[in-house]
Amino acid sequence: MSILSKFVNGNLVYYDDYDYRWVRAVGPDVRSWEMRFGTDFTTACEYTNTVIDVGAGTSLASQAITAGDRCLITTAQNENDSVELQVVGTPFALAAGHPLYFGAKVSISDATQSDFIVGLASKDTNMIAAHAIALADDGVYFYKLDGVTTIYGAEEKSGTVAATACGTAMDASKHIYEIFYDGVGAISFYFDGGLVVQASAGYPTAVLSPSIGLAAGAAAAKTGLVEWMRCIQL
Amino acid sequence: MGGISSKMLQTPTGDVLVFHDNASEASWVDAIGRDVRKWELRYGSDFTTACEYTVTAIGADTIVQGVTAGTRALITTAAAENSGANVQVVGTPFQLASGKKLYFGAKLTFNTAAGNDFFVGLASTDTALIAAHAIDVAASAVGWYALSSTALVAYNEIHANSVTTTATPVLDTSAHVFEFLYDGTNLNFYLDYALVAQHTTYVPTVVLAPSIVLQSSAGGAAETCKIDWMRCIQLP
Repeated sequence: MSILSKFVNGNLVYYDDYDYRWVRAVGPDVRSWEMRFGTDFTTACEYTNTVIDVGAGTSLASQAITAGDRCLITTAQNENDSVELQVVGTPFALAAGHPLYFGAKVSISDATQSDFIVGLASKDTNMIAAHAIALADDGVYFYKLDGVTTIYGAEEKSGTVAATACGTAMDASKHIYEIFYDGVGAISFYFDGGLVVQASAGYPTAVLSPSIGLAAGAAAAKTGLVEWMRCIQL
Repeated sequence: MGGISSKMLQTPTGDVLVFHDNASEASWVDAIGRDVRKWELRYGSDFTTACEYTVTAIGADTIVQGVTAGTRALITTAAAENSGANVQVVGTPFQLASGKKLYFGAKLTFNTAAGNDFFVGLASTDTALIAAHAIDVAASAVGWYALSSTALVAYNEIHANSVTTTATPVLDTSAHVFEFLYDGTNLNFYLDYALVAQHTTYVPTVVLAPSIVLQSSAGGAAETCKIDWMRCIQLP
Protein backbone atom coordinates (compact mmCIF):
# COMPACT_ATOMS: atom_id res chain seq x y z
CA MET A 1 0.00 0.00 0.00
CA SER A 2 1.26 3.37 -0.92
CA ILE A 3 -0.43 6.72 -0.90
CA LEU A 4 -0.63 8.41 -4.26
CA SER A 5 -2.47 11.47 -5.47
CA LYS A 6 -4.15 12.60 -8.66
CA PHE A 7 -6.39 15.37 -9.88
CA VAL A 8 -9.99 14.43 -10.62
CA ASN A 9 -12.41 17.09 -11.83
CA GLY A 10 -9.96 19.70 -10.56
CA ASN A 11 -9.82 18.21 -7.06
CA LEU A 12 -6.78 16.63 -5.43
CA VAL A 13 -7.58 13.01 -4.58
CA TYR A 14 -5.39 10.77 -2.42
CA TYR A 15 -5.77 7.03 -2.92
CA ASP A 16 -3.93 3.87 -1.98
CA ASP A 17 -3.59 0.41 -3.56
CA TYR A 18 -6.33 0.97 -6.10
CA ASP A 19 -7.30 3.97 -8.20
CA TYR A 20 -10.79 3.81 -6.79
CA ARG A 21 -9.82 3.53 -3.10
CA TRP A 22 -10.00 7.18 -2.20
CA VAL A 23 -8.87 8.09 1.30
CA ARG A 24 -8.98 11.88 1.12
CA ALA A 25 -9.91 14.61 -1.34
CA VAL A 26 -9.15 18.30 -1.29
CA GLY A 27 -11.18 20.84 -3.19
CA PRO A 28 -13.61 23.67 -2.56
CA ASP A 29 -16.69 21.60 -3.39
CA VAL A 30 -15.58 18.18 -2.19
CA ARG A 31 -18.24 16.34 -0.19
CA SER A 32 -16.52 14.21 2.38
CA TRP A 33 -17.90 12.38 5.38
CA GLU A 34 -15.98 10.07 7.70
CA MET A 35 -17.04 8.37 10.91
CA ARG A 36 -15.15 10.11 13.69
CA PHE A 37 -13.40 8.78 16.74
CA GLY A 38 -15.50 10.15 19.59
CA THR A 39 -18.70 10.15 17.58
CA ASP A 40 -22.03 10.87 19.26
CA PHE A 41 -24.25 7.84 18.68
CA THR A 42 -26.73 8.58 21.43
CA THR A 43 -28.49 11.89 20.90
CA ALA A 44 -29.63 11.61 17.28
CA CYS A 45 -27.56 14.66 16.42
CA GLU A 46 -25.15 12.85 14.11
CA TYR A 47 -26.90 9.53 13.46
CA THR A 48 -30.42 8.24 13.33
CA ASN A 49 -29.99 5.18 15.49
CA THR A 50 -32.88 2.75 15.16
CA VAL A 51 -32.81 0.04 17.80
CA ILE A 52 -35.11 -2.95 17.74
CA ASP A 53 -35.28 -5.11 20.83
CA VAL A 54 -37.90 -7.80 20.57
CA GLY A 55 -37.35 -8.99 24.14
CA ALA A 56 -35.10 -8.39 27.09
CA GLY A 57 -31.85 -6.53 26.70
CA THR A 58 -30.79 -3.38 24.91
CA SER A 59 -29.08 -3.14 21.55
CA LEU A 60 -26.80 -0.19 21.09
CA ALA A 61 -24.09 1.57 19.11
CA SER A 62 -21.24 3.08 21.05
CA GLN A 63 -17.70 4.32 20.72
CA ALA A 64 -15.46 1.31 20.54
CA ILE A 65 -13.16 0.61 23.44
CA THR A 66 -10.95 -1.52 21.21
CA ALA A 67 -8.12 0.66 20.01
CA GLY A 68 -8.49 1.60 16.38
CA ASP A 69 -12.19 0.91 16.08
CA ARG A 70 -14.57 3.83 15.78
CA CYS A 71 -17.86 2.14 16.54
CA LEU A 72 -19.08 -0.97 18.32
CA ILE A 73 -22.55 -2.24 17.48
CA THR A 74 -23.96 -4.73 19.96
CA THR A 75 -27.34 -6.34 19.55
CA ALA A 76 -29.31 -7.65 22.47
CA GLN A 77 -29.69 -11.39 22.86
CA ASN A 78 -32.91 -12.07 20.97
CA GLU A 79 -33.30 -13.11 17.35
CA ASN A 80 -33.96 -10.02 15.19
CA ASP A 81 -32.68 -7.58 17.78
CA SER A 82 -30.88 -4.96 15.74
CA VAL A 83 -29.18 -1.61 15.41
CA GLU A 84 -29.40 0.50 12.26
CA LEU A 85 -27.36 3.68 11.93
CA GLN A 86 -27.82 6.34 9.28
CA VAL A 87 -26.02 9.65 9.13
CA VAL A 88 -28.52 12.44 9.77
CA GLY A 89 -29.30 14.17 6.51
CA THR A 90 -28.89 12.61 3.10
CA PRO A 91 -25.71 14.26 1.88
CA PHE A 92 -24.98 12.14 -1.19
CA ALA A 93 -26.64 11.37 -4.52
CA LEU A 94 -25.26 9.59 -7.55
CA ALA A 95 -25.23 12.25 -10.23
CA ALA A 96 -23.55 12.46 -13.61
CA GLY A 97 -20.23 14.26 -13.46
CA HIS A 98 -19.80 13.67 -9.74
CA PRO A 99 -17.79 10.53 -9.01
CA LEU A 100 -18.28 9.03 -5.56
CA TYR A 101 -16.41 6.63 -3.32
CA PHE A 102 -17.85 4.78 -0.33
CA GLY A 103 -15.81 2.44 1.85
CA ALA A 104 -16.01 0.71 5.19
CA LYS A 105 -13.81 -1.71 7.11
CA VAL A 106 -16.01 -3.81 9.35
CA SER A 107 -16.09 -7.11 11.18
CA ILE A 108 -19.09 -8.97 12.57
CA SER A 109 -18.86 -11.52 15.32
CA ASP A 110 -21.03 -14.22 13.77
CA ALA A 111 -20.59 -14.97 10.09
CA THR A 112 -23.76 -17.05 9.78
CA GLN A 113 -26.27 -16.12 12.48
CA SER A 114 -26.54 -12.45 11.57
CA ASP A 115 -28.04 -9.95 9.14
CA PHE A 116 -25.76 -7.15 8.00
CA ILE A 117 -25.93 -4.18 5.65
CA VAL A 118 -23.44 -1.39 4.91
CA GLY A 119 -23.41 1.28 2.22
CA LEU A 120 -25.52 4.23 1.12
CA ALA A 121 -29.28 4.14 1.56
CA SER A 122 -32.32 6.34 1.49
CA LYS A 123 -33.84 7.24 4.83
CA ASP A 124 -35.29 4.11 6.33
CA THR A 125 -35.59 2.88 9.88
CA ASN A 126 -36.08 -0.68 8.74
CA MET A 127 -33.34 -1.57 6.28
CA ILE A 128 -33.38 -5.19 7.44
CA ALA A 129 -36.41 -6.98 8.84
CA ALA A 130 -37.09 -10.65 9.57
CA HIS A 131 -33.85 -11.74 7.90
CA ALA A 132 -34.56 -9.95 4.64
CA ILE A 133 -33.63 -6.66 3.02
CA ALA A 134 -36.52 -4.31 3.77
CA LEU A 135 -35.09 -1.02 2.51
CA ALA A 136 -38.10 0.53 0.86
CA ASP A 137 -36.59 2.85 -1.71
CA ASP A 138 -33.00 3.33 -2.81
CA GLY A 139 -29.47 2.34 -2.05
CA VAL A 140 -26.12 0.92 -3.07
CA TYR A 141 -24.84 -1.44 -0.44
CA PHE A 142 -23.46 -4.78 0.63
CA TYR A 143 -25.51 -7.19 2.70
CA LYS A 144 -25.67 -10.67 4.09
CA LEU A 145 -28.66 -12.41 5.64
CA ASP A 146 -29.21 -14.86 8.45
CA GLY A 147 -28.36 -18.53 7.98
CA VAL A 148 -25.85 -18.07 5.20
CA THR A 149 -22.42 -16.54 4.74
CA THR A 150 -22.98 -15.20 1.25
CA ILE A 151 -22.24 -11.50 0.86
CA TYR A 152 -23.96 -9.53 -1.87
CA GLY A 153 -23.20 -6.28 -3.58
CA ALA A 154 -26.52 -4.65 -4.39
CA GLU A 155 -28.08 -1.66 -6.04
CA GLU A 156 -31.67 -0.72 -5.37
CA LYS A 157 -33.79 1.81 -7.20
CA SER A 158 -37.35 2.49 -6.11
CA GLY A 159 -37.48 -0.84 -4.33
CA THR A 160 -36.10 -2.94 -7.17
CA VAL A 161 -32.96 -4.73 -6.07
CA ALA A 162 -30.23 -6.21 -8.23
CA ALA A 163 -27.72 -8.20 -6.20
CA THR A 164 -24.55 -10.11 -7.05
CA ALA A 165 -22.87 -12.59 -4.73
CA CYS A 166 -19.25 -12.11 -3.72
CA GLY A 167 -16.93 -14.99 -4.36
CA THR A 168 -15.75 -14.88 -0.77
CA ALA A 169 -17.92 -15.95 2.15
CA MET A 170 -18.38 -13.94 5.32
CA ASP A 171 -16.26 -14.76 8.35
CA ALA A 172 -15.52 -12.95 11.60
CA SER A 173 -12.49 -11.07 10.27
CA LYS A 174 -12.33 -7.44 9.20
CA HIS A 175 -13.33 -6.90 5.59
CA ILE A 176 -13.34 -3.87 3.31
CA TYR A 177 -16.57 -3.03 1.49
CA GLU A 178 -16.27 -0.39 -1.22
CA ILE A 179 -18.49 1.16 -3.86
CA PHE A 180 -17.25 3.44 -6.62
CA TYR A 181 -19.43 5.46 -8.96
CA ASP A 182 -17.42 6.88 -11.86
CA GLY A 183 -19.69 9.84 -12.52
CA VAL A 184 -20.25 8.67 -16.06
CA GLY A 185 -22.55 5.71 -15.81
CA ALA A 186 -20.88 2.79 -14.07
CA ILE A 187 -21.02 1.74 -10.46
CA SER A 188 -18.60 -0.88 -9.14
CA PHE A 189 -18.68 -2.97 -5.97
CA TYR A 190 -15.43 -4.21 -4.43
CA PHE A 191 -14.94 -6.68 -1.60
CA ASP A 192 -11.47 -6.67 -0.06
CA GLY A 193 -10.16 -5.06 -3.21
CA GLY A 194 -11.71 -7.55 -5.62
CA LEU A 195 -14.37 -6.49 -8.10
CA VAL A 196 -17.72 -8.11 -7.33
CA VAL A 197 -19.80 -6.53 -10.05
CA GLN A 198 -19.99 -3.46 -12.21
CA ALA A 199 -23.37 -2.15 -13.28
CA SER A 200 -24.33 0.51 -15.76
CA ALA A 201 -28.03 0.69 -14.97
CA GLY A 202 -30.38 0.19 -12.08
CA TYR A 203 -28.61 2.36 -9.58
CA PRO A 204 -30.49 5.10 -7.72
CA THR A 205 -30.28 8.84 -8.22
CA ALA A 206 -32.15 9.79 -5.05
CA VAL A 207 -30.42 11.28 -2.01
CA LEU A 208 -28.64 8.74 0.16
CA SER A 209 -27.08 8.50 3.58
CA PRO A 210 -24.11 6.47 4.85
CA SER A 211 -25.73 3.54 6.61
CA ILE A 212 -24.90 0.39 8.53
CA GLY A 213 -27.08 -2.20 10.23
CA LEU A 214 -26.61 -5.41 12.17
CA ALA A 215 -29.27 -7.83 13.40
CA ALA A 216 -29.01 -11.00 15.45
CA GLY A 217 -29.87 -14.07 13.44
CA ALA A 218 -30.30 -16.25 16.48
CA ALA A 219 -30.82 -15.88 20.18
CA ALA A 220 -27.45 -14.49 21.20
CA ALA A 221 -25.90 -11.06 21.15
CA LYS A 222 -23.95 -10.17 18.01
CA THR A 223 -21.34 -7.46 17.60
CA GLY A 224 -19.98 -5.41 14.75
CA LEU A 225 -16.80 -3.32 14.81
CA VAL A 226 -16.33 -0.42 12.44
CA GLU A 227 -12.67 0.46 11.97
CA TRP A 228 -13.44 3.15 9.43
CA MET A 229 -16.25 4.24 7.17
CA ARG A 230 -16.07 7.14 4.74
CA CYS A 231 -17.72 8.63 1.69
CA ILE A 232 -16.16 11.11 -0.71
CA GLN A 233 -17.84 12.77 -3.67
CA LEU A 234 -16.44 15.31 -6.11
CA MET B 1 6.13 28.41 12.68
CA GLY B 2 7.66 27.96 9.30
CA GLY B 3 5.18 26.03 7.25
CA ILE B 4 4.33 22.45 6.51
CA SER B 5 6.24 19.58 4.93
CA SER B 6 5.25 16.02 4.16
CA LYS B 7 6.98 12.69 4.18
CA MET B 8 6.05 9.13 3.34
CA LEU B 9 6.40 6.77 6.29
CA GLN B 10 6.46 3.02 5.90
CA THR B 11 4.13 0.94 8.01
CA PRO B 12 3.67 -2.84 8.15
CA THR B 13 0.73 -2.48 5.78
CA GLY B 14 2.19 0.09 3.41
CA ASP B 15 3.08 3.75 3.19
CA VAL B 16 1.29 6.66 4.85
CA LEU B 17 1.66 10.31 3.91
CA VAL B 18 2.42 12.35 7.04
CA PHE B 19 2.32 16.13 7.16
CA HIS B 20 4.44 17.80 9.83
CA ASP B 21 5.30 21.26 11.04
CA ASN B 22 8.60 22.46 9.62
CA ALA B 23 9.60 23.25 13.20
CA SER B 24 9.91 19.54 13.94
CA GLU B 25 9.48 16.32 12.00
CA ALA B 26 7.91 14.96 15.17
CA SER B 27 5.16 17.57 15.14
CA TRP B 28 2.57 15.81 13.01
CA VAL B 29 -0.44 17.76 11.86
CA ASP B 30 -2.13 15.23 9.58
CA ALA B 31 -1.70 11.83 8.01
CA ILE B 32 -3.35 10.27 4.98
CA GLY B 33 -3.74 6.54 4.66
CA ARG B 34 -6.48 3.96 4.49
CA ASP B 35 -6.11 2.78 8.11
CA VAL B 36 -4.80 5.96 9.77
CA ARG B 37 -6.37 6.62 13.16
CA LYS B 38 -6.81 10.29 13.85
CA TRP B 39 -8.66 12.22 16.50
CA GLU B 40 -8.69 16.00 16.81
CA LEU B 41 -10.56 18.29 19.17
CA ARG B 42 -13.22 19.86 16.99
CA TYR B 43 -14.43 23.41 16.85
CA GLY B 44 -18.02 23.13 17.99
CA SER B 45 -17.41 20.10 20.18
CA ASP B 46 -20.18 18.90 22.45
CA PHE B 47 -18.84 18.96 26.00
CA THR B 48 -22.21 18.88 27.70
CA THR B 49 -23.99 15.63 26.93
CA ALA B 50 -21.25 13.07 27.64
CA CYS B 51 -21.51 11.87 24.05
CA GLU B 52 -18.08 12.96 22.93
CA TYR B 53 -16.32 13.53 26.24
CA THR B 54 -16.52 12.23 29.76
CA VAL B 55 -16.25 15.43 31.79
CA THR B 56 -15.79 15.01 35.51
CA ALA B 57 -16.14 18.33 37.31
CA ILE B 58 -15.21 18.47 40.96
CA GLY B 59 -16.96 21.75 41.68
CA ALA B 60 -18.41 24.50 39.53
CA ASP B 61 -15.83 23.81 36.84
CA THR B 62 -16.51 23.97 33.12
CA ILE B 63 -15.18 23.13 29.72
CA VAL B 64 -16.81 25.03 26.87
CA GLN B 65 -16.14 25.92 23.27
CA GLY B 66 -13.63 28.73 23.20
CA VAL B 67 -14.96 32.18 22.40
CA THR B 68 -11.48 33.47 21.69
CA ALA B 69 -10.73 33.14 18.00
CA GLY B 70 -8.52 30.14 17.39
CA THR B 71 -9.32 28.49 20.69
CA ARG B 72 -11.26 25.25 20.48
CA ALA B 73 -12.00 24.82 24.17
CA LEU B 74 -11.72 26.73 27.43
CA ILE B 75 -11.47 25.01 30.79
CA THR B 76 -12.32 27.16 33.80
CA THR B 77 -12.04 25.94 37.36
CA ALA B 78 -13.95 27.18 40.35
CA ALA B 79 -12.03 29.46 42.71
CA ALA B 80 -11.42 26.67 45.16
CA GLU B 81 -8.36 24.58 45.83
CA ASN B 82 -8.43 21.23 44.01
CA SER B 83 -11.53 22.13 42.06
CA GLY B 84 -11.26 21.34 38.39
CA ALA B 85 -12.31 19.37 35.35
CA ASN B 86 -11.11 15.95 34.18
CA VAL B 87 -11.90 15.54 30.47
CA GLN B 88 -11.51 12.35 28.41
CA VAL B 89 -12.67 11.39 24.93
CA VAL B 90 -15.40 8.76 25.20
CA GLY B 91 -14.06 5.39 24.11
CA THR B 92 -10.41 4.45 24.21
CA PRO B 93 -9.37 4.64 20.58
CA PHE B 94 -5.59 4.49 20.93
CA GLN B 95 -3.11 1.93 22.13
CA LEU B 96 0.66 2.01 21.95
CA ALA B 97 1.62 -1.09 20.02
CA SER B 98 5.00 -2.17 18.77
CA GLY B 99 5.80 -0.76 15.36
CA LYS B 100 2.78 1.53 15.19
CA LYS B 101 3.95 5.13 15.43
CA LEU B 102 1.72 7.49 17.39
CA TYR B 103 1.75 11.25 17.78
CA PHE B 104 -0.02 13.28 20.44
CA GLY B 105 0.09 17.05 20.73
CA ALA B 106 -1.70 19.98 22.32
CA LYS B 107 -1.22 23.74 22.32
CA LEU B 108 -2.28 25.17 25.67
CA THR B 109 -2.30 28.54 27.39
CA PHE B 110 -2.78 28.89 31.14
CA ASN B 111 -3.79 32.08 32.93
CA THR B 112 -1.27 31.51 35.71
CA ALA B 113 2.07 29.77 35.64
CA ALA B 114 2.05 28.07 39.02
CA GLY B 115 -1.51 28.24 40.21
CA ASN B 116 -2.76 25.02 38.73
CA ASP B 117 -2.36 21.30 38.41
CA PHE B 118 -2.69 19.98 34.89
CA PHE B 119 -2.18 16.87 32.82
CA VAL B 120 -2.48 16.48 29.07
CA GLY B 121 -1.92 13.35 27.05
CA LEU B 122 -3.33 9.84 26.74
CA ALA B 123 -4.69 7.96 29.73
CA SER B 124 -6.75 4.94 30.57
CA THR B 125 -10.32 5.71 31.52
CA ASP B 126 -10.16 7.47 34.88
CA THR B 127 -12.27 10.21 36.42
CA ALA B 128 -9.51 11.43 38.73
CA LEU B 129 -6.20 11.60 36.90
CA ILE B 130 -5.05 14.25 39.41
CA ALA B 131 -5.96 14.39 43.08
CA ALA B 132 -4.62 16.56 45.90
CA HIS B 133 -1.91 18.10 43.74
CA ALA B 134 -0.55 14.74 42.65
CA ILE B 135 -0.87 12.44 39.66
CA ASP B 136 -3.45 9.85 40.67
CA VAL B 137 -3.64 7.63 37.58
CA ALA B 138 -5.05 4.22 38.45
CA ALA B 139 -3.79 2.36 35.41
CA SER B 140 -1.73 3.93 32.63
CA ALA B 141 -0.95 7.32 31.15
CA VAL B 142 1.54 9.19 29.03
CA GLY B 143 1.83 12.94 28.64
CA TRP B 144 2.83 16.16 30.31
CA TYR B 145 1.95 17.63 33.68
CA ALA B 146 2.68 20.45 36.12
CA LEU B 147 1.66 20.28 39.77
CA SER B 148 1.39 23.53 41.71
CA SER B 149 4.63 24.77 40.24
CA THR B 150 6.07 25.96 36.95
CA ALA B 151 8.01 22.75 36.46
CA LEU B 152 6.85 20.92 33.33
CA VAL B 153 7.24 17.18 33.50
CA ALA B 154 7.23 14.59 30.72
CA TYR B 155 5.77 11.43 32.15
CA ASN B 156 4.55 7.91 31.48
CA GLU B 157 3.18 5.35 33.88
CA ILE B 158 2.00 1.79 34.24
CA HIS B 159 0.28 1.09 37.53
CA ALA B 160 2.27 3.48 39.73
CA ASN B 161 5.54 2.67 37.99
CA SER B 162 6.48 5.84 36.19
CA VAL B 163 9.27 7.64 34.41
CA THR B 164 9.54 11.42 34.54
CA THR B 165 11.77 14.10 33.09
CA THR B 166 11.51 17.75 34.06
CA ALA B 167 11.95 20.11 31.15
CA THR B 168 14.32 23.04 31.37
CA PRO B 169 11.82 25.66 30.20
CA VAL B 170 9.22 26.39 32.84
CA LEU B 171 5.54 27.14 32.49
CA ASP B 172 4.40 30.71 31.95
CA THR B 173 1.22 32.29 30.66
CA SER B 174 2.20 32.08 27.00
CA ALA B 175 0.98 29.37 24.64
CA HIS B 176 3.08 26.22 24.68
CA VAL B 177 3.08 23.08 22.56
CA PHE B 178 3.18 19.79 24.46
CA GLU B 179 3.89 16.74 22.32
CA PHE B 180 5.11 13.20 22.39
CA LEU B 181 5.88 10.77 19.60
CA TYR B 182 5.88 7.04 20.12
CA ASP B 183 8.31 5.75 17.52
CA GLY B 184 7.05 2.20 17.70
CA THR B 185 9.33 1.35 20.64
CA ASN B 186 10.10 4.40 22.80
CA LEU B 187 8.41 7.61 23.86
CA ASN B 188 9.96 10.89 22.77
CA PHE B 189 8.73 14.04 24.52
CA TYR B 190 8.83 17.49 22.99
CA LEU B 191 8.14 20.90 24.50
CA ASP B 192 7.70 23.74 22.03
CA TYR B 193 9.12 21.47 19.31
CA ALA B 194 12.36 20.74 21.21
CA LEU B 195 13.20 17.22 22.33
CA VAL B 196 13.15 16.99 26.11
CA ALA B 197 13.55 13.28 26.79
CA GLN B 198 13.23 9.78 25.47
CA HIS B 199 11.62 7.28 27.83
CA THR B 200 12.17 3.60 27.21
CA THR B 201 10.46 1.93 30.15
CA TYR B 202 6.93 1.74 31.54
CA VAL B 203 5.47 2.50 28.13
CA PRO B 204 1.70 1.88 28.51
CA THR B 205 0.21 -0.96 26.53
CA VAL B 206 -3.48 -0.69 27.42
CA VAL B 207 -6.13 1.23 25.50
CA LEU B 208 -6.00 4.98 26.07
CA ALA B 209 -8.12 8.07 25.54
CA PRO B 210 -7.03 11.63 24.78
CA SER B 211 -7.27 13.39 28.14
CA ILE B 212 -6.80 16.77 29.78
CA VAL B 213 -7.15 17.82 33.40
CA LEU B 214 -7.02 21.27 34.98
CA GLN B 215 -7.38 21.91 38.69
CA SER B 216 -6.86 24.97 40.84
CA SER B 217 -3.90 24.45 43.13
CA ALA B 218 -4.32 27.42 45.40
CA GLY B 219 -7.95 28.43 45.25
CA GLY B 220 -8.99 32.04 45.63
CA ALA B 221 -9.27 32.61 41.90
CA ALA B 222 -10.45 30.68 38.89
CA GLU B 223 -7.80 29.04 36.77
CA THR B 224 -8.17 28.72 33.03
CA CYS B 225 -6.65 26.72 30.21
CA LYS B 226 -7.23 27.56 26.57
CA ILE B 227 -6.81 24.72 24.10
CA ASP B 228 -5.81 25.96 20.66
CA TRP B 229 -5.61 22.41 19.36
CA MET B 230 -5.22 18.89 20.58
CA ARG B 231 -4.80 15.86 18.32
CA CYS B 232 -3.64 12.30 18.20
CA ILE B 233 -2.56 10.40 15.08
CA GLN B 234 -1.59 6.73 14.89
CA LEU B 235 -0.27 4.90 11.88
CA PRO B 236 -1.37 1.35 11.08
